[in-house]
Amino acid sequence: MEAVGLSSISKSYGDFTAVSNLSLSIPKGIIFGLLGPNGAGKTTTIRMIVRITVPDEGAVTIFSQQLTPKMQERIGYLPEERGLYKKMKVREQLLFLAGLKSVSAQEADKKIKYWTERLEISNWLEKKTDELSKGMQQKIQFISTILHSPELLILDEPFSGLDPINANLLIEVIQELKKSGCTIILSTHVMEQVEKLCDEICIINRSQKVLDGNLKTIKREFGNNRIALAVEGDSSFLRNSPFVENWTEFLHHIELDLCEGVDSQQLLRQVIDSGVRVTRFELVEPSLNEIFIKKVGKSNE
Amino acid sequence: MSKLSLVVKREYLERVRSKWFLIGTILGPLIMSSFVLVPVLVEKLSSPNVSIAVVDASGDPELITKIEERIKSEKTRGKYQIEHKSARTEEELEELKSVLKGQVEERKIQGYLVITPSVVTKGVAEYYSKNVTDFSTNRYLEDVITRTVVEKRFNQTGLDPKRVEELSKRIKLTTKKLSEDGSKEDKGQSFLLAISLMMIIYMMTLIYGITVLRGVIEEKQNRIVEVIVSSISPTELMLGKVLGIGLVGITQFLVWSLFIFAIPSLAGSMLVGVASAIPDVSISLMIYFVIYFVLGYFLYATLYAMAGSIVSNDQDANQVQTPITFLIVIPMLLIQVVLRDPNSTASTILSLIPFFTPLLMFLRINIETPAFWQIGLSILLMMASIFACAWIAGKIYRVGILMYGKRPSIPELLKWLRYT
Repeated sequence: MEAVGLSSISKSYGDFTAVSNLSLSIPKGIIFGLLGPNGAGKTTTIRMIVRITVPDEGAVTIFSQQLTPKMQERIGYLPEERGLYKKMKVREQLLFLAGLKSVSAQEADKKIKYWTERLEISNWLEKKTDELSKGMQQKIQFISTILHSPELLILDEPFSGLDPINANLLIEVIQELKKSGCTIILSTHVMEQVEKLCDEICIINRSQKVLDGNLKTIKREFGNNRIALAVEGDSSFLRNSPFVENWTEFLHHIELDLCEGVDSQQLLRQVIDSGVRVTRFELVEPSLNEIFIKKVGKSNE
Repeated sequence: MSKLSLVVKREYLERVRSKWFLIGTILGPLIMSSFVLVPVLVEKLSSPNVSIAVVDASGDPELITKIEERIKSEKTRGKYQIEHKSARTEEELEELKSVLKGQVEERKIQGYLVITPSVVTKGVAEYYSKNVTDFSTNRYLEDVITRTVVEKRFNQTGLDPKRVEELSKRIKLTTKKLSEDGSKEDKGQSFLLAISLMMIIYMMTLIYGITVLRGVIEEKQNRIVEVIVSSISPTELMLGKVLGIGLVGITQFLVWSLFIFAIPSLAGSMLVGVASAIPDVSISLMIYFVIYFVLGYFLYATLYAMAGSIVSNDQDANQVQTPITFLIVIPMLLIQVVLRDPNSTASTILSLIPFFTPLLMFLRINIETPAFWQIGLSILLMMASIFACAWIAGKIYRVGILMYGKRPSIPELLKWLRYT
C-alpha cells in the first residue's frame, strides 16, 4: 500500500520554481530518504505533504486518500527550523501540541510519560522550555511529533544538535517506530544515517527529481564498475591499463573505476599476468555520498 | 476541545499568568485612582498650619482686624495662623521687614503680608515668602483682602455691602443632559466618563493590538509556527491568537471596572465628594462601549497580526506597525472636530470611517446621540471592514509566517495574495 503519492506536483513562488513536476510513490512501512542540496525544494515538498502549502499543480495523496485537514492528524512533522514556546512548561507544551492533533489529555499524559522516559528526559517536564539545553529541546520536539502515534512521520534533519549518544537513541526509536508500522520520511544531509536507515531514497535537485528508488538497487547500479585492489609488488603499470578510468590510491589499497564495457575479469587477468601477487580484488559499492555528489553535480552542469 | 479553543486557551493563559499582566492590571487602576485620590490626600495632609505675619502699615486697624478675622475664621478651618505686627513709620516698617525676613529664613513663619494705605486707593498689597508658588495660599490671601477692601469701599461710598452682595449675586447655570429617560442634572461627569471610556478603547486597542503583533513575531522567531500549521490552518491560528489576546483585554477591563466601582465606595466615607463624581453608568453606554471596543479590537488586531507575519525581527516590526498605529492615533486628533459640532457633516463622515468609528462614533453617541441609522451603519461598515481585513490578513499571514529574511515589498505582498 502507498503511504504518500505525489503525482506531478509543482509549486512556484512568483518567478521562483520550488518544485516542478515531481512524482513519487512512497510505500507504507518503510523509511524513505528525501535528499538534495540546500534549496533544492525538499522543504517545499514536505510542506505540501503535510498540507502547510498546496501545490499549484498536481495532487498529493496520503494513504491513497485526498489530503484533508483531518488527515493531518495521521501525520507527524518535525521541521528543520523548529522551536518551542520559550515560556511554557514542557508538559503543557506537549499537551498543547498533542491537543492540536486531537489527542485527549488523558491519552496524551500516558504518551508523554512513556516517551519522556524512553528518551530519558522525564525529569524536565515541569521546567520552562528556555531552561532546557538545545539537545533536550530537540528531544522534546521529537516527542511532540509522535504523541499522536502518527502513521506517517516526517523528520527534517532530526539529528542536528544531538550528541552521538542521543543520536543513537533516536535511531533506535526511529527503527522501533518503523517496526510498529509507521512510514517515515527522513530528510538529512548526513548520508551515513541515510545508508543506515533508509530503504528507499529520492534525490531532488533544482526543484526536480534526479534519482529515486530502492537504495540497494541504486547502489548496485552505481557499483558495478568500481574495484578495490591490493597487490604485493609494483602496481604502477595499472595507470596505463586500457581498462582503467579513475585511480585513487589509499594507504593499503587502490580504488579504480573500469572503463565502460570492460569486465572486471579482464582487469583481473591483466593484473595476474603482470606477475604481481593479488591480496584483494573486490567489487565495491560506491557510498551514497558519492552517488549524491555525482548525481547532483551532473544535473548542475 | 476544538483546536481553535486550544489556541485561544493557550494564548489567554500564557498572558494572564504572566507577571506583566498582574502588574498592569493592578497598577493600572492604582495609577488611575491616584489621579483622583492623591491631590485630595495631599491637600489634607500637607502643611496643616501655615503661619503668616500680617504687618499693619495702613494706619487702619479696623481694616486689618477684619482681614485677620476673615483669614482665621473662614472655611480654612484653622489652616492659617496669624501673627499681628504693626509699623507706624517707614523706618519701623523696614526694621520689621528685616526681622520677619529672618523668621521666614528660620521657617518660623511661611511669609508676611504687608498692607499699606494704598491697598484701598490703588488696590495693592504685598506678600513676601520664600515660596511664591503656593498658589492656593496666594489666591486665598488675595481673595480675602479683596473682599475686605471692597466692603470698605462700599461703606465709604455709603452703600450697604450686604445689599450690594444680594443685588450682584452671580447666576448659577445648571447643565442638564437630555436623554430618553428624561433630563438629569449633569455637571460634566458623564462627559468625563465617556472620554475615559473612549481613552480605554484607545489604549486597549493599541496595547493589545501590539501584543498580537509581538505574539505573531515570537511564534515566527522561535519557529514553532511551522509545527502548529502542520496541525491547524494558519487562519485558525491567527483567529485563535486574536481571540485569546482579546479575552485577556476583556479580563483586564473587568478587573479594572471592579476597582473603579469598588474604590470610591470604599474610600467614599473617607473622601466625601469623590464618590459623587462617579456618574450613573447607563446600560446603553456600556453596551456601546463593548460593541465598539470589540469591533475596534478585531479590526486592528487582524491588521497587527498581518503586520507581524510579514516581518522576522523587531526592527522591521516597528516599521510595519507604524502605519497601523497612525490609524489608531488619528481619531484622537479629531476629537476636537467632533466636540465642536458632533452632528456636522465632517463629524458624521469621520465617525463612519471604520478605522475611526470605535473612538469617534462612541464619542458622538455620548455627546449627542446621532440618528440610529448612523450607529447601525457604522457597525455594519466596521463588520464589513473586519471581514475584508481578516480575509486579506489571513492570506498574507498564511504566506508570511513561513517566510524569513528580508521584509517583502508591497508588490511582493500583492503577489502573496494570489498564492494558493
